[in-house]
Amino acid sequence: VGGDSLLEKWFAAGDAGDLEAFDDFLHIDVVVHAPMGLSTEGREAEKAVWRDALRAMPDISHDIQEVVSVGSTIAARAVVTGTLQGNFAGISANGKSYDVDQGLFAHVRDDKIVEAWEIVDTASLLQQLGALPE
Amino acid sequence: MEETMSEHPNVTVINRMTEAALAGDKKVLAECFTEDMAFHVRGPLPRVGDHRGVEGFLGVIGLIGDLTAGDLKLDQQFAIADDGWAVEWERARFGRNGRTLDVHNAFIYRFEDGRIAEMWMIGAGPAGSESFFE
Repeated sequence: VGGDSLLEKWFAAGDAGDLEAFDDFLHIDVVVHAPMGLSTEGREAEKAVWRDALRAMPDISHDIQEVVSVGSTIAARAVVTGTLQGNFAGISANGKSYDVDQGLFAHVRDDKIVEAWEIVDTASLLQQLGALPE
Repeated sequence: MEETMSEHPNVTVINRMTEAALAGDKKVLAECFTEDMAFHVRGPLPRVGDHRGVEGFLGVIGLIGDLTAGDLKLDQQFAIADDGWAVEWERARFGRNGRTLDVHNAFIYRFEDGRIAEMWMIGAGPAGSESFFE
């Protein structure tokens, strides 16, 4: 499941619900910058966000399209899909599905991700979920 | 994410393209893009969707320039590349009608023979940014 890069392994494990595998890919003090109030500090906090995400969107999928890796930096583009079946990130469950582009950047130290940034097309996400203010 | 790397030729093309975009230099843009370059715009930006070629590209970038009356500041965080793909992360600050929008833009580029054949611009801003360019 997933490609060879740490980014691909991390998101493949997350989509599969194998959160304990994060121990192999994320530094214990990893910092993840994410939109919609989902930033985390520490591996366990990141697992908790994924646990909530999987509960709300059991079909969540990050289909990583391209990966560029140079030195200690990894970057990728992913297509994220899912269906909001439970409350998540302040949005109430509504059964709507989404399909958005995402840019991912990660900094690696000692073979694990120490900091990552998720740049998500939240404008489209909120529109597809009917969550934009009128 | 500070890191010293020798610049990949595709990063040189990206930086040349960005300068030309800001200058509206169609001749240089035509040298940087394949003739049918595909430009995918995502996020809280004007003309979200898919565009083609120099004219399609400038239709988006020119409109951003018009809507902000030139009040925009771009700050490249980093750009990395291999021979087929490149990724760039940029922070952008737009001013419009007394409002300011700070966004993170992820760019993913596919190259053919040293030219940009396809690019994604994924913008992510704070809550409410969706209406900034309306």
